[in-house]
Amino acid sequence: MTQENQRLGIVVSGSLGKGVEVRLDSSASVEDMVVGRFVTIEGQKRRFFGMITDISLGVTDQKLALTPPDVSDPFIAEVLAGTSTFGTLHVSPSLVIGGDAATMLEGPQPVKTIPSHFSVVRLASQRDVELVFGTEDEKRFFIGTPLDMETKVCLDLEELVKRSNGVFGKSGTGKTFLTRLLLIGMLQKGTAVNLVFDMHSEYGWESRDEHGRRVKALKQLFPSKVAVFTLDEESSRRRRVSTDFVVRIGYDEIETEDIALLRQTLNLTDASVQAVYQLAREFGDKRWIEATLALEEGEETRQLLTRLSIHESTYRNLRRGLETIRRLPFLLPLAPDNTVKRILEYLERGINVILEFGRYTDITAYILVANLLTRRIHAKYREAMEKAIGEDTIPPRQLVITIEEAHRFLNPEVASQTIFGTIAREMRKYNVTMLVVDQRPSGIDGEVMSQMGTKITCLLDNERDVDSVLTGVPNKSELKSVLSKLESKQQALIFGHAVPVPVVVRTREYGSAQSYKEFLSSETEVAKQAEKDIKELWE
Amino acid sequence: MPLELYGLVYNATTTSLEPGRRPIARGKDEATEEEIYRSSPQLLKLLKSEFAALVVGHKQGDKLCHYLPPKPAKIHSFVYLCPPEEVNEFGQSFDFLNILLNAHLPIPTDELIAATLRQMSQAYEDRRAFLVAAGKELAILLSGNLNQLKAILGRIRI
Repeated sequence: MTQENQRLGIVVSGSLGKGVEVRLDSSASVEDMVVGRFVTIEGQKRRFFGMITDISLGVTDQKLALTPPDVSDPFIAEVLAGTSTFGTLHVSPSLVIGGDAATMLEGPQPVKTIPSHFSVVRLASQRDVELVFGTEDEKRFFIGTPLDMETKVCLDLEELVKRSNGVFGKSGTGKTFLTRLLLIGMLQKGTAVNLVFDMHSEYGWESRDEHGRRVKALKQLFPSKVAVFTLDEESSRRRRVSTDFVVRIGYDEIETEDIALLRQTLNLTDASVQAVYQLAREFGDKRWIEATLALEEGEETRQLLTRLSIHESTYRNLRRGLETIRRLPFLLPLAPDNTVKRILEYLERGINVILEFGRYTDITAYILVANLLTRRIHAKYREAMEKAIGEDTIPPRQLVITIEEAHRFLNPEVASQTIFGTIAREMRKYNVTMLVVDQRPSGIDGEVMSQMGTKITCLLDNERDVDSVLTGVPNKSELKSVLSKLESKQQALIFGHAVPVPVVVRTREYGSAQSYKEFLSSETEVAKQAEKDIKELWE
Repeated sequence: MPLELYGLVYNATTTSLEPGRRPIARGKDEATEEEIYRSSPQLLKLLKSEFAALVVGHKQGDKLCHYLPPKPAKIHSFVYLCPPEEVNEFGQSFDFLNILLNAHLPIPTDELIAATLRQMSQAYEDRRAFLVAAGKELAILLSGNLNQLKAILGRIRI
């Protein structure tokens, strides 16, 4: 364990754009340095806060590399370490945490300059990190600890939910755990109400982690604040989930845009998608699926197709696609209840809705349902928000929609058409944002990626994925080396709007009895505080 | 204020008193070297020993400086052997190494530096720490001359 505030070395060169080079003292071993760790730099007038982004070895004389000295002799090795041979750190200073008036009054400020030559570099102390990331309070949520430190890194959830955010990472790196943590944070702090499209049924009720351990989920931790909706009643019953509502969708609710979005998954041709619009015009927006499916082989149909100038093969192609949809058991010719209305009712009451897909993990079902529901909710929210602006009343609650496998909705081909593309781009104004969970960020439209406020990424090793996550980040190449060196478990790089500097965290523990207690204790604290506030108000 | 100079012995010779006259070999029939002087006692008066020292620092009052003094040593000044405590004090700084490295002496400088450090290290309790610190200083001064550095380090390692 390294000593607190240990001196590491001195700044020897650098620039604001590329970060500074730090030459390590002979007392600091290069092998103790870790990328992603925080350091402070004591400039002459200001204190800087930054992160180690690269580590390299240097020699004063190139000959030393060509004819290496006899380092088997400990004396020679000790003499040369730190003098002729030395380690260098690449540090990118990102904040000023002391020294000028602005930081005294308003806290850490972004850097606009760099420390002078030979400024001393030290490991950041617990206090420094706390100063930067704040402490856990009514709007900050403790998400994890920085590398090799015990300090808490807190996310400003109020800021976080104002924009769309992304959780990325290869399969098995802890995306689900992270997302669960974030959702718990939002529930605990009450900054937003959530709608989760839970493809693998892991957020509502308990599931098992990789070691086969049972892990509780949201409904168990916050029963009064979470409602579980299900598409697959049987699966939910088998898993003994107490569901609040069984979702059924009528054919009349499926719109032409929904089919357009499913073009890839249903293997439809462009012509088939065009045919959908024509059929909808012919039969009416509400009835067209039923009517099309009811068409029978025969002269009449052939005449209709000729009139609409739909080619026979196009019709076959479309028909095959629609049959696939029809096979989804939760689709009925006429739905008994209005799902969208129910969801909105819950959301208005501040209850978070988790929609389980049960057996229907098929991507067609997921895209169809998520898109269909979200579009309507989006429309209602838009309406409510406009009304609130017009009448100067309280706007609807901030809504965060969580979607998995996001690259299916947000790939460049469909991002402009789906409602999720619209939300990612502009729904911030209407109090709706997204939490995108995905393992192939390179599949997501660049425009959408660049609009995301905060990105939390676990290990990614595909070059294209890394590039796409880091688009628009100022010191991209530096973060790249940090990102590719993350451990495959429990580590994540967070950067963007909700954190003042990019930070690598070891995510908070989740799954033990103690961790549940921690989530709940702060929950009751908030409740107690609220009660106290109310009491004081009436006194 | 009295001025004390610190010097490093870098050379020692024994020659005849008269310049140009070279000692001749003796003692063919003697059993030991002492016998030579016993049988020819005049030799002690005819030979002289000299040593040369390189000034590497000075002390003016209480101030110890690791650079050349403002004035040279006076003729007939007395010369003393530096006691270990003073060596210890002088070795707190390695600034004098630069003078040594740049001196043009009739003997190899590397040898002189190595010998100096070896000698000085005896005045320290932790010889190794002293030599490592000196080695680091040399590594910085000789950053462009790796071979010389290697040669010196090879002579002072313990």
